[in-house]
Amino acid sequence: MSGTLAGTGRNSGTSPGTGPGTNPGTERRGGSAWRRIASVARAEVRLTLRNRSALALGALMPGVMVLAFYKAAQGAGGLVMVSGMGWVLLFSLYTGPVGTLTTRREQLVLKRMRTGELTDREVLAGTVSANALLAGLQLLVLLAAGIPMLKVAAPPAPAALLAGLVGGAALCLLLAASTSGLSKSYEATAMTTLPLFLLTMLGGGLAVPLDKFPHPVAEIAALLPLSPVLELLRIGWTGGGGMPKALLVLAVWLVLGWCAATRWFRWEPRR
Amino acid sequence: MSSTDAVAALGLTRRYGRGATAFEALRGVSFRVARGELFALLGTNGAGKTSALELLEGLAAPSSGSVRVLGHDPYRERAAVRPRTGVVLQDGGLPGLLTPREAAEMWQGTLSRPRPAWEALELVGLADRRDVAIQQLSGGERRRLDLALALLGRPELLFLDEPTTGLDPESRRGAWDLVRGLLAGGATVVLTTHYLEEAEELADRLAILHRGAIVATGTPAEVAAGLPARVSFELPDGVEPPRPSGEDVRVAVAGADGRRVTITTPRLQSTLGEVLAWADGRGLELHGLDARSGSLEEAFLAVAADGASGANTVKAKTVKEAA
Repeated sequence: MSGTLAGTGRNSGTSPGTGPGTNPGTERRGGSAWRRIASVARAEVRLTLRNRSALALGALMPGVMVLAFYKAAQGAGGLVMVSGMGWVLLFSLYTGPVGTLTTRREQLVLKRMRTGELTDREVLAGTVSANALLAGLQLLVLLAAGIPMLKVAAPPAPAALLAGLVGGAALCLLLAASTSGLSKSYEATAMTTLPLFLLTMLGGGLAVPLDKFPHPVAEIAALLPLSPVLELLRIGWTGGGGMPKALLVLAVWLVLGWCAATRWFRWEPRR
Repeated sequence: MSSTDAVAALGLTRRYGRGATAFEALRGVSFRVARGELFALLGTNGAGKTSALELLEGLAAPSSGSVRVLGHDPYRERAAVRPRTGVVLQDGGLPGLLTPREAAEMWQGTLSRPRPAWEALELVGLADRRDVAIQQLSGGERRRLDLALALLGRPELLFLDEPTTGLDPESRRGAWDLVRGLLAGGATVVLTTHYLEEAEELADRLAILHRGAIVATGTPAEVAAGLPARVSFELPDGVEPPRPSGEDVRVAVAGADGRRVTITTPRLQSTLGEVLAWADGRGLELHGLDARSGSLEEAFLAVAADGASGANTVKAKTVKEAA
């Protein structure tokens, strides 16, 4: 190395590089935030593509769960779509980001990225971008394959569907940030993501439809974090009332999720 | 803060945790770094070097005290400072499955006026390793990659946290040459190190940190000059050690056989003269006679040995900061 480094003295004209007329700190053009996020996103997508086994698992899990649920739905195509979207949210926008955020934190990647020009939100957005892209692709596959195969009619309440997807994505990411803060290592995320997983599977109507529960249990189950999201998706695909209540419960969970993420998320490993 | 200061830190404290488990990593640290100079924070592990540097980098806000970097608060006015600084953290922070080229391109995409990725890699001599996965690089190569990324944004001010730890001696010299090249081009550098040699070699000014406080600061020569000199020898049989004049001269007898005399004095020449006259007058031959002026090494060792007394000795003559 010394040969090349010794050469630095020669080109030191180019080295420290405070170009003349540099305007300190003021040049933060509007589009540059997206440029910065995209740059981190490219690296994250690369890393995802290089970790084949994790990618295969993450990409196929929602599909496997949809097939498992298919029989229970007894041909009700709308409900299969609801469950499929729920699994995409849970796997690709909750479990996936918990793993990514925890891994990058423990690798000190998050800390390093915070030493540069990226804002904290850009760091977070870039880091979970590969998970988000995967979720987007899975939703497209679900729609492209599900609608013709299940002969699902166009959703009667597209607004509810959209609210469920957008609100659900936001809630899952907030909960993912919180959960990663409580996970000591990537290995630990297998345990730390379990509670929300089980709660949602049992009580959120993902495996067993909520109306199969006795009355008080169903009332309580409707208050679980992802229950309002699944309720909105159900209203979107199969119609029916209850949208205001679901939106209210979702709003409360978004606030709680925001507070939890602010409280628990960590940029650096525990000392 | 003078307009020539790149960094001004005033009374910085930093506490981790709360209540009974609270730990005070910094207890009132003040220093200034002029533009164009290299300032070294020297200290043993746990002295508070990284804690201090993180406050300058804007990664955290101090518990109390104030810090200005290039005229701004680096924590609250992050956006104003970051395009002008480059940071090498103490460790890692790059996913092992990326290659140096990919890592450099990723980082480049986040900067407002980057140099080309290949140029940064070439500066640190990693051009021929640019397509090898980072996890296959040696520790020294990774350190050079860290440096390359810090240089990507053409920083005016560089923060280097133990930049040469883990490098072999040849690579270390190479890194020093690179840093000197940056200084020659007008950059300002703040680095932490626990290598005394590195501070002596590179620093215009330095501060020795110990247990979260600065115990000595100044140019390497000033810090060394602020330390007492030593005269030592084996005490011949049957005599009492000499008592050189001066309140501030101390005589200690120690060693394996309890006969090694060490005299610390702020006036080496006159004290040594008295010792020699004492020996001549008694016709004694002093074995193992050694006289040396204060050195940065002694300042550092006094601190590292961590007699609280050692730290106090240095503190007694802390050199006034010269801007």
